[in-house]
Amino acid sequence: MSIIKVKNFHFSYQPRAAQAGQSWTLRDLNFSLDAGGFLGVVGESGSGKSTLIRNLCGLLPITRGQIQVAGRDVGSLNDSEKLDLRRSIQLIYQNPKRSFDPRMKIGMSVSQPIRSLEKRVPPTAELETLLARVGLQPDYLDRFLHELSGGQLQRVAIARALSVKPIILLADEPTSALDVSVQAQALKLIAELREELNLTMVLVSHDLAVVGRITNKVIVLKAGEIVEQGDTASVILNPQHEYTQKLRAAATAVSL
Amino acid sequence: MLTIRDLKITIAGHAVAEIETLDLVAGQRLGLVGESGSGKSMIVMSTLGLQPKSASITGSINFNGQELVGLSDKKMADIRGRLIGLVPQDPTKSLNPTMKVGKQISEAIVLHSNAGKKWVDQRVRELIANVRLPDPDRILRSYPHQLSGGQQQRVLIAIAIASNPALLIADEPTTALDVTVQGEILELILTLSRELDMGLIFVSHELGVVRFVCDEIAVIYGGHVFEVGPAQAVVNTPLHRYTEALISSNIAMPKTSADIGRDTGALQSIDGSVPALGAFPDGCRYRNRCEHEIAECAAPVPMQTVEGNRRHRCRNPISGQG
Amino acid sequence: MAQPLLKFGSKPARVRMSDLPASLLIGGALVGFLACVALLSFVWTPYDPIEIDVRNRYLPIGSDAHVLGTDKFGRDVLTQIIMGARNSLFVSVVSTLISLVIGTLLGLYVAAAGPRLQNIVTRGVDVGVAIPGILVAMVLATAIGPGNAAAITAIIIWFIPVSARVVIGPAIQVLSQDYIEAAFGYGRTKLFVLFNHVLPNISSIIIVQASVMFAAAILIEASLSFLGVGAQPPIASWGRTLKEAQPLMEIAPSLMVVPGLAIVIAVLGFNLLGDGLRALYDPQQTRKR
Repeated sequence: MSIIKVKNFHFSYQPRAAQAGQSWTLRDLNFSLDAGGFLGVVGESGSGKSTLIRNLCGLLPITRGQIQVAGRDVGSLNDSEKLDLRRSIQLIYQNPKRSFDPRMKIGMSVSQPIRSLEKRVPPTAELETLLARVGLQPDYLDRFLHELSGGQLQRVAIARALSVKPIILLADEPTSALDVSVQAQALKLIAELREELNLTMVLVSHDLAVVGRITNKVIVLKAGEIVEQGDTASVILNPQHEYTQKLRAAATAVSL
Repeated sequence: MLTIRDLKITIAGHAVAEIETLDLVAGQRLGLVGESGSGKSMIVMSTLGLQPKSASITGSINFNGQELVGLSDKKMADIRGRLIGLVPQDPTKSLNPTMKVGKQISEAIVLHSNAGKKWVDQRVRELIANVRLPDPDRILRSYPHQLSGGQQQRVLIAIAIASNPALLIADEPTTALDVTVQGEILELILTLSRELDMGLIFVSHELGVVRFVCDEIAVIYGGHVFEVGPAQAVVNTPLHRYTEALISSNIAMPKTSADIGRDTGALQSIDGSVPALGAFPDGCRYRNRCEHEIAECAAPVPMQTVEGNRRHRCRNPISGQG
Repeated sequence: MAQPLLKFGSKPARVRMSDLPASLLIGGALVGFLACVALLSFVWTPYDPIEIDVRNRYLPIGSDAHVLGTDKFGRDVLTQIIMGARNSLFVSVVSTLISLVIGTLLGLYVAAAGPRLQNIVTRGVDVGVAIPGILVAMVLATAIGPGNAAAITAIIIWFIPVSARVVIGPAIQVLSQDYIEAAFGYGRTKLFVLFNHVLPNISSIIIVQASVMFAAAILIEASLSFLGVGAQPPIASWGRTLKEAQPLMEIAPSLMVVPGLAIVIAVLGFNLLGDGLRALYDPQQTRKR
């Protein structure tokens, strides 16, 4: 059962220019993801991968084509349906140090989605449970952004995203800004939580190795178009498209 | 060509880097590998006299007989570019956005030579060819933002090698680039180092990248050199526990279908994070994160030579190799 | 909206006096002194401000009964200065606060609007800033009559584009941050984001700007009074006191010096305060990891 379905999807930040013949940021995307699946979106800079993620959770206006999330068309939602969408799909950002308001304590930041979407103030015990699940002690609730390392902040971001019990989790290069020795930890956490909570996940990365290790389906983006898609094992180990082969060769050359 | 002895770099009373010995022979390629906060950039910047004003440096950095520590700004500026070239990290921040690329390259040439315009122009084209940039006329006329990241980095390399320096320092030159472009730039640097018989110090946080380009690798943590040796040896048979941990926390390209998919058991990382300046433990700076810490690690650890140029400073090294 | 976990940035709980920049302490002291004097005027002044004592006019500074001397009508100069302080502060505070509020709201609105509206409003703001405030004040004075009302209105008209412009840039920068997008991602409205995320994060800029504007307002008020379109008698004003003392320069120079000095001290105080606040907030940014 497809929980995300993308059909003939086009996107441009300047829709009128694009309709008139200028280039699209995303062009003619077609793919779907089953409930419980783990999709990797691979692409280099300018591929449109970050734009795609933001379209999936409805943060950008639909230009042309269709995105269906949990059976509903993202482009034609009324206000209360939009809030429903926010509850079901959450996003984790690339740079954890920029994902939080520096004036707020961690506890306050983590409680924001619940305050906004569930219109209630979560008790401290609930926040402590959220942090515990990502391996952080309760005293982190009282700290500020700059007191935590990148790895710790990314875990807080995961806790915040999961606080409203979404069914889909999107992650935009969640480990690129982290130290090498800590990246695996974040990925492991994401993969474990996904299993535990039976989440559907979409992970954007330029790193083929990362995508290869934890996803089960892959789409490869180049200049806004999907050049190859399929299950991870086939695409990563036996790429058909020239571009994917190039990516694989380049990644393997500097891999340990 | 380059000998570093008893180098100590201090900022606000904290030792940012302490190196007893580090050597580079002419034409050799040395990689400095370390995470952020390891001090690797500070070491390299100090070699160029570009350390922050608040840093105080003692010890010796000797380059072809010339002592660099304490050298006057004017003399250092003469060495920079002419004898030691620098390829900086982020091309988008290192080129003057208001100046055409051709002019920026010729500036680098003119700075260290008295040659006439005709010769300079010729040299600029020569350099553009050296860095394998096609269509020199277009490149010369372009502004930095009109070039791709990879092209910009090639321009920076051209500027760095403009005066045929004996040593090239590359500070994370491919970190900001796409992986497909990275390969090309690494190949270029390797080729240039061979063609021009240039020594190379390559700074990076990625072991795989450094192994690709360098003959020798030095692993740096907390400003200390933890392990030095031939690139393949350090990566295939590491001695220091930190090197071992770095290697196992690396997310390698899957090679078989067994590597793919949900099993994240193989993913490892190092507990904790790199301490802030001044918060490092005594003795071995890594010991508070090390799984193999023993009592002796609390005392300062001397460098041990295993054989030839293979050295490490681990009290509890991996046995049975090297 | 009670948010007990919301604290202002990362300032340590206890800050020693010696840690604060000198400009902040000096500026703060001067402004504090000025405020005390102004408040004092409501309950007590050495003499009745309108009391005339022609037999004792032109007394020099240091006279027995009049510390700062008397003017041409025998009015006590110290009393005039104290009353003038009250007026300056009143005009400056009222006009600055009102224009800051309006300007900030305008700036936030523009920052959150699309680029087309931004372009139009930015042009408008640039034009507004270019118009000389003094001229506006003169025109207003002619229209509604001279006095504090004209002065305050003129200053407000001049300051609104200034404060809007100061706010727009930083607000746009904050809006481009990931945590703002994250807030939209969990359902926050633009209005909420502007007041709960953007405003607190640009508050230090606004506060510094406010102190500079206070200083400018005092100067403008004095200028307007000097030109005769500010506070009218019997309301005391430094500018008018200065103007009245001008023809008497040879007989009693102190009558010019004293109000002039008062203006200088007030403006200096606010400017130093602004400098000190700026120094206080900036090193904090760089102190973060």
